[in-house]
Amino acid sequence: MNKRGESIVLKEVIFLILNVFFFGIFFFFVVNASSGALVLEQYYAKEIALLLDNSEPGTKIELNISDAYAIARKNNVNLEKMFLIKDNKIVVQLSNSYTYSHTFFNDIDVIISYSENGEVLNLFISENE
Amino acid sequence: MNNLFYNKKGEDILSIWWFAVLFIVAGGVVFGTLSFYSDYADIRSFESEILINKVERCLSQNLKSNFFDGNLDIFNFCNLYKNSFEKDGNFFLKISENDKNLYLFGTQKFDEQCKIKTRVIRAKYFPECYEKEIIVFDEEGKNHFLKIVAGSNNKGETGNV
Repeated sequence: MNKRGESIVLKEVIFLILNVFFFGIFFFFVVNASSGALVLEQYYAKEIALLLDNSEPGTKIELNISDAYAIARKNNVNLEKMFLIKDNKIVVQLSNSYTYSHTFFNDIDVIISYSENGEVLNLFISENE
Repeated sequence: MNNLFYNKKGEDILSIWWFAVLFIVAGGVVFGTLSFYSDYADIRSFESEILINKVERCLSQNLKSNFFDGNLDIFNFCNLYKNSFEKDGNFFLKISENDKNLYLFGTQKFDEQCKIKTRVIRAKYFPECYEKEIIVFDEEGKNHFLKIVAGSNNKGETGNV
């Protein structure tokens, strides 16, 4: 109590609780936005496009996609649909709403496969016949 | 309910303005986060650099005379996907010798935009370009000075399922 006998505890407690509540929401929102499907789709599409552009036939690439696999599984996206190569574009789908595609300029054939637990993406590059 | 906002003397404990400021701050955080994560990651400069290095490696062997006549199928020779340059217009490649264009693939305007880009600090919608001068040899062992310009304006695209 202050000198006038007013209770200041209630005011401070409510203030603190509301602050924690609001900043908790901000934190949750930012974490969700940064690890969302859209961001990861773009990240993996561009990373794989750069890898494919820089590869020669005979190269084998193994990429850890555990975070993408977790998101795709949460959104009920089939493993086979997660990463596709179509018309020299890498198409990444981690949600049931959108895909993200990125073109690469290297004229190659790419064989995609996954590890048993789905957390590793294997890319085998061969010459385009 | 009144006790939450006002004490017995009528002084406000929780001001309505405090909530307004909080919502303004919240709006700012949401807007900033969405702006940051909705912007695309720009890899065009990496792509143009990889392209120019790939072409340089491909031209490092002794070249036949049809190359210097402009008659070589560069796409086949260097394993490049033709549609990425001609149809989609995402990439640009120019090979010249002594200011004479031997090969020019992609959107013509990229050539001008790449030249402009060297003189401006920032041009967000112009392609990212890379330039390199190399020495190559023909079948007779004579050297030729080539200038290669490669550009990328490939931003990727979002599609519906």
